[in-house]
Amino acid sequence: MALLVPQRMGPPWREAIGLLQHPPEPSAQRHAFLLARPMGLAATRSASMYRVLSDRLVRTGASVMRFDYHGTGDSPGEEGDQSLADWSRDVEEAQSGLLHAASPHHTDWFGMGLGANLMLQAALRVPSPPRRLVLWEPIDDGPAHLQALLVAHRREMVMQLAQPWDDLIAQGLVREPRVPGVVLGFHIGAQLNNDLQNLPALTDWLPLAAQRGMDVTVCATESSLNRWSRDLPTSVHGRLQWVPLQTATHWMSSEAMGAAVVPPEIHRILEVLTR
Amino acid sequence: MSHTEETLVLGDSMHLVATCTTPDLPASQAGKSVPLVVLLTNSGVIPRFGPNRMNVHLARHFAQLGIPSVRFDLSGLGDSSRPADPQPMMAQWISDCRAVMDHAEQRHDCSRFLMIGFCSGAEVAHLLGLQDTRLCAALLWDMYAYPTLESTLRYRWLRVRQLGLAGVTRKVQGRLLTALGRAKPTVSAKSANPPAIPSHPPAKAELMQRLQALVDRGVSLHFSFAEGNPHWFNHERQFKAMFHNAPFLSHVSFRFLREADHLLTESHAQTAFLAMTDEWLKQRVLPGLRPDDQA
Repeated sequence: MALLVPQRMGPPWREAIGLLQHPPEPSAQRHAFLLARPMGLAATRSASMYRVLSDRLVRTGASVMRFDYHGTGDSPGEEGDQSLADWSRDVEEAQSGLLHAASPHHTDWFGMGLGANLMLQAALRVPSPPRRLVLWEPIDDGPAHLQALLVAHRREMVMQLAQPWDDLIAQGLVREPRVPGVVLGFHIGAQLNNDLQNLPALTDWLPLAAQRGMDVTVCATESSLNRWSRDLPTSVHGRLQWVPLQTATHWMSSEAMGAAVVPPEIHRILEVLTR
Repeated sequence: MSHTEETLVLGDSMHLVATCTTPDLPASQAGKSVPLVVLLTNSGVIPRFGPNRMNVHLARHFAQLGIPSVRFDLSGLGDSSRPADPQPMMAQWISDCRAVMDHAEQRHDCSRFLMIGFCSGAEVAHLLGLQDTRLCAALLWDMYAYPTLESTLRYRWLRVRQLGLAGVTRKVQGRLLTALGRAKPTVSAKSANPPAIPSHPPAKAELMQRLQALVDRGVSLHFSFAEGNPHWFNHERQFKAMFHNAPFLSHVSFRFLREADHLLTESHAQTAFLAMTDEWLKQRVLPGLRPDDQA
């Protein structure tokens, strides 16, 4: 069995909890993966997938670190006090913890949703950048993402309470969701709301990662990939790989909460990561 | 009161990931025993932090009251792996809980446990109580429900309101055609995908026996249901009607949390759940402990 080692990372005032998974037998490859989760309901729904990914990657002889950002999941802190800059620093701390604990020759990073955006930002700052960055359905438009969350919140409550939204409001069973505020059970604070409203375009960051010598794989729907590819200078295309997804996973609903949520594309994720 | 959190790996196969929250007791209370330890675990596939992080909020709240807690992932859920030699699922999960209790008992020198079970976690909690006498209290959220005449009529009325006259007519027509063998039965998206509820409810008589056994042993039980399950639990009186005349009924507490959905999505639902738990703990659980048990 793989060896599980909990890690506390970051300064005492901003700790985050990580879980490092080592292969049962030490490997000569000394390779490691860092996995960054998405946010809110997407993090809850993808939790099983992250465990499955870790298990499979450990079987290749690698060490794998997955973690909860400060103020999320099992980590200390409050959701409402967070910012993208702080979470991006949590990624850096996780990388530092991984390098310290596993001493790998190189690391590959995988991030999903907002976790992909955070990884991209962190990868531009860490002293030892990853060899490869795999970004799964990164968020391209912050304001549109916030709007989608508000819509998903209403839809979720209508599904959960089995009544039309207007009826629920009239009975005082729900309140109109707002940002900043609690949306889909996740507290989006003022700073995070501001950060998402002004989220830099993915196409601003991807060339910088390529210039740092990282290979970047972006997995998203074909239309998103076509748009990004069109907006990027051809000089960086050599470092970028586009993986079109047949099915975008709808993470903003608890509909399948009682069952394991592992997207059908997981074999593609593994294929990309272990290539 | 501040607290300290530590994440550990436990179990015979070192496969269970658990986070212990320990209150930092003031010097004046150092060495005093804690009244009980709280167990918090998964709800369906939701990791140990609970639905919308409710287990984290609960752990911090209990720590303020001087009560330690452990939130943990059962085998194959959240961060916990399956053990090397797994048992059938429910038996394994009960074993997992007992392994966590063994650890917490040593850590806090306390053999009294309270478990908060959300949905499938409630299924685990009541079965744990039947097998391990260290469990002295359990809060069971959205556990098994059984239809009554009133709940069935209310649900039918809700469906009529949802479908409208035209929808009801179509439905009746479809049923008639099916009955006459001229159409295949259809499954609506709604009924094919109902919100998650505890799996495989036992026969009502079986559950009543189990609950009676727990009450006879002195286990404090609190049942609560959310508004958001109109197809299976939809009004305040249903709980008493479901277990009509059961001797255990006068020994358990119940609350229909109308302001909450199953996953406690809205902040007012989380606040209401926390307040309900606090009230039950202070009014029913702590006073029920033997005087020499109390801190």
